[in-house]
Amino acid sequence: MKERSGFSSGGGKRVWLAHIAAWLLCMMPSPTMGQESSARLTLAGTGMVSLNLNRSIDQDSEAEASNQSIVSDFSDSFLLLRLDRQLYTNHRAGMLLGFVFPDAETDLGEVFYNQINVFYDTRAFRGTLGRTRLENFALEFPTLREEDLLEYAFVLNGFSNADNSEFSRYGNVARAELFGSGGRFHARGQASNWTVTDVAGERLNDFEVNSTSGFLGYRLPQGIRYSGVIREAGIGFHSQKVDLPGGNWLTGFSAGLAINLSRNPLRNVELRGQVIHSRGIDAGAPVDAVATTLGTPLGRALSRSTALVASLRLLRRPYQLDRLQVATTVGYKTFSGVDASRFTVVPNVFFQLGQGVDLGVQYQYESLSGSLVELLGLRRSHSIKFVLVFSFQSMFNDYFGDRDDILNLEHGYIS
Amino acid sequence: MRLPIKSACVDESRGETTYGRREFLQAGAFGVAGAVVAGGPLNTPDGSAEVLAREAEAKASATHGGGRAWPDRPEGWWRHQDAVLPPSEAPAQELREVELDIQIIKHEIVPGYSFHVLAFNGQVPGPELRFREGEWVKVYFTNRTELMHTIHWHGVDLQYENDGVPYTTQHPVMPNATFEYTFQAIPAGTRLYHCHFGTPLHMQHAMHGALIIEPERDPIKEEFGYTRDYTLVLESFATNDARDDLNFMLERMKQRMWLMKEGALDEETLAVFESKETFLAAIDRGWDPPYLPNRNQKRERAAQNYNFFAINGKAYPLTAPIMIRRGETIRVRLINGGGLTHHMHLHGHQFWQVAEDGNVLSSPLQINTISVGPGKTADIIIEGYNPGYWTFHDHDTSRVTNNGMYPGGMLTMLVYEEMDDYDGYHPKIALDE
Ligand SMILES: [Cu+2]
Repeated sequence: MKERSGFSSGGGKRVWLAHIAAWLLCMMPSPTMGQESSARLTLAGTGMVSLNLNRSIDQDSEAEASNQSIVSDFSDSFLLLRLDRQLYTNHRAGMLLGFVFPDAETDLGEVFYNQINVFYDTRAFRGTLGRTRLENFALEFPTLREEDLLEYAFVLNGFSNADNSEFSRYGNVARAELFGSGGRFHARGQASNWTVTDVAGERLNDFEVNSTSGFLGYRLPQGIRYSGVIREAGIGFHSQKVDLPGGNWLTGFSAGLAINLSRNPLRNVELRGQVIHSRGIDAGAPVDAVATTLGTPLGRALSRSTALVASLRLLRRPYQLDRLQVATTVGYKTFSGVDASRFTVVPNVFFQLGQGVDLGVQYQYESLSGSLVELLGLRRSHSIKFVLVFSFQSMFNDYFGDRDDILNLEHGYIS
Repeated sequence: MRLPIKSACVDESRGETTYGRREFLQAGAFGVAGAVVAGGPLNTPDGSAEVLAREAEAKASATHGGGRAWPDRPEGWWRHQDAVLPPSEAPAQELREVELDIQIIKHEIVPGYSFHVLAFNGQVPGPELRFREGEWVKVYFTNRTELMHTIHWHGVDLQYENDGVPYTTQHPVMPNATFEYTFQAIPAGTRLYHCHFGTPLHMQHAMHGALIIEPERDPIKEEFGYTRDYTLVLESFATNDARDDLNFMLERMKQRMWLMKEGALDEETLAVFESKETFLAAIDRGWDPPYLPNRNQKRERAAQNYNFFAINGKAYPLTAPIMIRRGETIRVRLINGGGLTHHMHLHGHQFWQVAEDGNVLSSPLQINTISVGPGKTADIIIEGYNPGYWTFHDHDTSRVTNNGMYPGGMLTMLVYEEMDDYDGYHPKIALDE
């Protein structure tokens, strides 16, 4: 009795230390404690190698000086690992770990880790912390690679002068999303760190939160994607605290709408359009030369601009299997206050040879006008890409449903 | 022929004074033939060749061979002397009408674990249907899901277009449609009904229910004089596979319904052909049937991963106990609504199997473990001679689990009502041993 209660006595202290030791031993992870609950594992990836035939025509149209190249290009191939599990609360938590193969010209090295994050999921909420997509757009478009439309379809990174797409697509985020109607409606707010580089495009060790964004969206869940006319819609803002002499905040707005022109699940026809308006840094103020020069990635990101993208996509799905996709995407971007604009059209055709295996060809034409021609040393470019894409997604130990499963959506959510 | 075993087993006075194995052994020892038919370890401890041979002979006997026999059966109920009558013969004024629907519901099999199932009238299993033998029945079956279904009346001898086999005896019942099944309830016995569309998914998860056709005179009742009648529908669920499959089927079917409305659903998309010729013609055109590895591998799944097992929709410890009194005789109808064979073992008792597939056995069989395969039914008689708490469970004990945890699943208990007053050990609720 005395020993048990007496922490102050010498003997009591020994008992107390023994208790701590025992407690520490209990806290050690032990394989014999409790039941093992395995994580659900989803493995996804895409191997995408194209043979690119490029022809660019520089500003001297009289001379028709042109460059031609043939390159093999495996950029945007990726591998992604998702692990998640059910918690004691019946909520879920998990992590994503993934990398992409960046374009060889980007100095990003062989691989770029685009997904290193943890997330927490409930029926109506998802929190994400770590590196992931910045979600700095309203819609995705049917081009071979996202970077094909980088200048048109994304709010660009106002901190980076690096010539890559990764710094405008991925960043470190603290994100909260709220879902309604089983994922049909969602509201997203995030604080993020967009990659910061120096003027030379070298990445700086600056991981401070430097941006914020908000988004309201509607989306037909994947399982019922043809069931309505409005397939996706959304509107958002993306503010980067650039703290430049011309202004503290670089704010872009995005809005998009995707509609099923045909709800036929065997011949889906879909039209989508997006506008991104970037307010830019006040051009009247004295700003760093790089920042205002449209010839640099940073300059274009900081400039006041409006970009429109629209695509029309036909999907042939005999026997309810994707077999043929024919799409055309058009992009137009104009910079305010200067005579500068650019235009692109990207038609492509993909045959699905087997599930997850696409053989395709994409043509892209881009034409610059105004001061962009001189600044970028380019008037027009053509490229043809012949591509074989292999993609897969496999799930192992699948022991719970997802928010927008049809069962959870329409027959009562199971937590 | 008939031996007075019943009186030895269920005699009230005997039950009052003594009960237990000694008396039971004596009861089982009435006559050599009785011991042979009983055939259990108690009576044939050596399993000698002679005994086994006699047992085989007794089993092979199509007549009332080998010992325990039935009272005179009502004439003609177990054999159809006449052709099965078509629904047009149903007497309109004496038609028994039943409404069944099918819905997708969340079903809680044990506290804390729910999953989506296809449920007749929102119940798991579907409501027990009881008809009098010979009664004409009309079932209005309404499909309140976005999938296709039918109802098959398993073990009923009916006109084929009421048999509920999609694309064989009828078109499947489409979403929001009502189909009328009309049949005469014959023959008597413990039977079942289940969906026959996408059977591996639909029937097991959980479109099945008891269909009990009661005879005018029941030889089992006459022989054993049972007082209570229990129905145990045995169920096996692969909840993760079912979720995956149901989501997939719902997505696909929603698209097919759109195509159907537009008149654009063809044979190849539906993978249902008017004839073998049109099927082979599609193959010639280069159509890949959905079973080919390039189209289907059940998403890396070779077999169903069964993880929950139930009796009447509930897994242990939520299974309902079978209540009995000392000296009482009860009837238990076992119906397998799932896709596995269950080996139901009762502790502390030798019970009588009296019917299989609803049909009365030529001789009752005294056993303590009974295998009930998919689509099978078995009727057993339990005599209350050994008060206590007695587990009754699948002896493939991998099914006495909830999500892999023992004990759980297909486990219930035979409970003597007298045990409330007994000052001894009483069962606890164990969830993890
Ligand atoms: Cu069904």
